[in-house]
Amino acid sequence: MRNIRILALLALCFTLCGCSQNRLFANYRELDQTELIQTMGMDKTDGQVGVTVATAVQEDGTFTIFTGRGQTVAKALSQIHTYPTKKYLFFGHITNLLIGTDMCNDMSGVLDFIERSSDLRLDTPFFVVRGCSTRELMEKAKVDGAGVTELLQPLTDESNLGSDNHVFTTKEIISVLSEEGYALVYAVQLTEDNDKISEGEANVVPAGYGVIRGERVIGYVEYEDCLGVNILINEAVNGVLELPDGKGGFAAVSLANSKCEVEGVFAGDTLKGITVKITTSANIEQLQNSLDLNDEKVIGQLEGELSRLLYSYCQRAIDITRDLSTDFLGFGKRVQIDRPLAWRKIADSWDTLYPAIPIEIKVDAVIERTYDIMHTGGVE
Amino acid sequence: MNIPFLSRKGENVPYHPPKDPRFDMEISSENVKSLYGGSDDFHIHTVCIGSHRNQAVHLCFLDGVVSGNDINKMVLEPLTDPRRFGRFTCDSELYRRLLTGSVFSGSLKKAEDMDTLVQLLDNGFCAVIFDSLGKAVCYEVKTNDRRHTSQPTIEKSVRGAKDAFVETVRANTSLVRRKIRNPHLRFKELTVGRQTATNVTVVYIEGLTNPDLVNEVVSRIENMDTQGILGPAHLEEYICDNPYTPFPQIITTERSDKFCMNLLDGRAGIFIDGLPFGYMVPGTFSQFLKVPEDQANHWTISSFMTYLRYFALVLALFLPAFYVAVAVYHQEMIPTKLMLSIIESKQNVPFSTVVEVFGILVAFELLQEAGLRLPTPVGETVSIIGALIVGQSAVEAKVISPIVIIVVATAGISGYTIPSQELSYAVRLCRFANVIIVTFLGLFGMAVAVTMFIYLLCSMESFGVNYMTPFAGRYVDRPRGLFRMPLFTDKFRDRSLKPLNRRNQK
Repeated sequence: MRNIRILALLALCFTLCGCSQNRLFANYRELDQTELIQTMGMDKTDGQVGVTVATAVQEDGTFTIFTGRGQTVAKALSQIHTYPTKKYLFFGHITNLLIGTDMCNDMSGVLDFIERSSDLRLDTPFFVVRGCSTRELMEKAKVDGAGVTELLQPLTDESNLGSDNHVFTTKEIISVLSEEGYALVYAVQLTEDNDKISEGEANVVPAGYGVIRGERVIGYVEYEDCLGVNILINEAVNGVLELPDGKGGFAAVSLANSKCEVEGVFAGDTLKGITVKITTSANIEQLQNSLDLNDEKVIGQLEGELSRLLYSYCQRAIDITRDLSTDFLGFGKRVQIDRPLAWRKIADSWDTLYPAIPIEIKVDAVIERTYDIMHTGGVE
Repeated sequence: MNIPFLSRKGENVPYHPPKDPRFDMEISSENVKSLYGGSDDFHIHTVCIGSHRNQAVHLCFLDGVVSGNDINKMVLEPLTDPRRFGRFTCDSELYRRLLTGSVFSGSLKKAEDMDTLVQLLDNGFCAVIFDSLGKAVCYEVKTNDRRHTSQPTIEKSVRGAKDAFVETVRANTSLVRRKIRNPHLRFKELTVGRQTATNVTVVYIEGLTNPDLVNEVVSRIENMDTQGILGPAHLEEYICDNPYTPFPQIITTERSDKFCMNLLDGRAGIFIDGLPFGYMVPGTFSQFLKVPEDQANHWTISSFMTYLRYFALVLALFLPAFYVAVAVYHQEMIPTKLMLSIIESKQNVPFSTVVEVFGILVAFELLQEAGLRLPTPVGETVSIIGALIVGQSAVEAKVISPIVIIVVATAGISGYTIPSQELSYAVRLCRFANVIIVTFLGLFGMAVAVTMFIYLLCSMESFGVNYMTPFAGRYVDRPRGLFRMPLFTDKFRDRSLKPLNRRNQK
C-alpha cells in the first residue's frame, strides 16, 4: 500500500511539472549552447524603446551586442530573441542595467518590466548613462579588451568598499520610488580623456547621481557633490579630504565613520525647521608641514577645518535638493519616524514645504587616529 | 508485502515443508553410516571397551572438524583403558559411566535422537554409539584449526580496540564475554538452514535488553525457512522489516567494541557461524553514521565529525543531481563567474550534461567494482589508471568536461565518509535515481526526490523502532543523533530501545 502511495505521489509530480502538455524538457538547455547576456541597456529613439544587450566577453576578447526595438521593453527584448544566433541568449545573468540619456526623460514602464521579469534579478546594479545612449556606451566602452561589463564591475566593487559613489540596486530604487516617489541612481559616462587609455578606446567613469522622480530623471548630483549626499543619507563614506594646516600647507585626512541624525523642530504640531546632526571621525593620512599632533589645539584646529569642509559639502547637497524641489535625502521620512502624528498634518504638503524649511546643519568632526609615532630614534 | 515481479509465484513447484524430525531413524552405527553414505571425511570405528573383547561400541566423527589428537587422548585412550572399564555388566551401565565422567572431556552431550547426533557431529563432536540402546555419548573434540582474531579490515580502528570478529561463533562470543564481564550476558543458540544447519547465536544482556526485542529476534530467526546462511544477506533479508528497501536495517560490524557498545545501549546482537561479523538490531538511520571512534575522541570532535558525515551524505546523494538540475534547467542559480568558467570548459564536449554525469557515475562505479574484485596491488593500479590517466585524457580530449568529473568525484569521495558499507551502497543506488528524476523535472524533481527520501525513511521501522529515530517517530531526541554528548552527561539509554534499565550511570 505504501509503495502504491509513493508511485501515486510520483505520478502526481509529473503532472505538476507541465509534462501533461508535452512540455517535458521545455526548459532544458545545455550550458555550451547558452550565451550569457551580462549588460542590458534601454534607450528611447524616435519614440521607440531600444533594448541593447551585450554578451559576456569571449576567450578571444570579443563580445556581441544585440539591439531590439519596440513600443515596450518587452517587445524590444523579444525581438532580440529572434536574431539568428548559434546559441540561446540567457538573461538570467545580467549584472548591469543601464538607462540611456534619452530614456531618462521617460522611463515609463521600464521598472515595471524589470519587476515583472522572471529572468532579471532585482539585485542587479542600476545605472543611468549621461551624455550618450546605452548602445553607444556599449559599443565604445573598451579598455584593454575589457568590455562594458568588465568596466562597470569595478564601480560596483568599489561601491561595496565605500567609494565616493554608491551603486544602488534595482530593488533599492524600486523600493524607494514606490515609497517616497524619488530615488537616487548611480550615473556613469564615457570618457576618452585618460592617460591609461589607448587611442580609440573609452572608459566608463562615475558621473555622480541621477535623481529619479516619478518616471524620469529630473536632475543630477555632480560627482564632486556626492560626498555631501552620502554623508546625509548615511551611506558608507570614504575618501580623502585636504584641510588647511594653518602653515600654508595641507593635512590629508581620510574619513572613517559618519553618522547623520535628522530631527524636526516643532512648535506644537507645526514644523519650524530641521536640525541635521553629523558626527564624523577621520584619521590623519599625511602632513605637509610638521605639526605637533599631541597638542590639543592643533587637533582642535584640524577638527574645526574638517567640520567646516563637511558643512560646506552637506550644504551644497541640501541646496541641490532644494533646487530640484525633491527631498531625495529623505529628511521627510526621518521626520516622520521621529514625529509620526505631527507628520500626518504636513505629509501632503511636504513637497511644497520642503524648499522653504530652514535646515540647520551641525557637524561634529573628530580626528581619531594620528598615526603619530613618538620619539622613535629622535625623529618626530 | 509481495511485489509480483519480484516473487516467483508463476513457477508451479510444490512446497516441501521441513521435516520434523529431520532424520526419522534410531541411532545406530548402520543408520549413521547410511546417512553420511560414502563421504570420505566420515569415519566410524568399532572400539572394544577396556579389556572386554566382546563389548564394543562405535566411535564416529567427521575428519577435519575434529582434532585427531584430542580423540586419541581424550576419548580413545580412556575407553580402551582396562583399569577404567574393568568391570561392567551391560551397555546401559557403560553408557551411564560414560555420562558420569569415566571419559573426561570439557564438553559432553548425550544424543538420544538422530537429529541431535548429526548436529553434534557437524559441530566438532565425536560420538560413541551404543547400537543396543539406540543412544550416543558425544564429546567435544573440535579442531583448533580456525582463523585467529586479527585487526579489523573494513572498520579501521585508530584509537579503539583492534580485535575483529572471526568466522567462529565461539571465538566471537569469547571476545564479547571478555569485554562484558557480566553473568547476565546471554547467548542463545539457534540452528537455521535446512542444508547448512548454521549456528545463529542471539546475544543480549538479561535485565537490560528489552525482552520483547529478544523474543522478536528469536522468533524471526526461528521462522526462517531457508536452505542455508552463508552470507549476511541470507539473514538480513529474512528478518528485517522492509526487505525491499536498499537501506540497511541491521547494524553490521566487525569490531567487538562497537558490538559491545550497542549491547550496552540495549540492542540485541546476532552472530552467524561462518561470518566474521556481528549484527545488531534494531538498526536506525543515525546508527549507520556513527563509528566507534566517536567514543575514542573528544565529544566536540566527534560531534563535528558526525555533522561532517551528514553533510557528506547529502553531497553523496544529491550533488550530481543538483549539478544536472542547475546546469540544464536553472542556470541562473550558478554564480556568473562560475557559469562562464563552466561554459568555457564545456565547449566542444560532444555529450549532453546528463549523459556526461551518467557516464562518469557509471565509470566511477565500474572503477570501484574493479578495484574491489581485483587483488590489492592490481586494484590500486586500476584506480590510478582509471582516475588519473583515463580521467585526465577524457578531459584533455574534450570528451568530458572537468566540472562533471569534479562533481562526481566529490560525491564519490563524500560517499566514502559514510561509515556503513551497506548505507553507502544504498546511497550510490539512490544517487542514480536522483539524477534520473532531476533529468526530467529539474529542481522540482529534486524536491520530489528529497520528499520521497524522507517519506520512505520516516515510514520504515526496524524491530518496532522508527528508522529515523531520534529525528522522527515517537522518541524524538535530535541532540542524540547530531551530537556525541559528553559521556558524563549522557546518563540515559535510548528511550526508543525500551531498555529495562534506562539509566546507564549515576
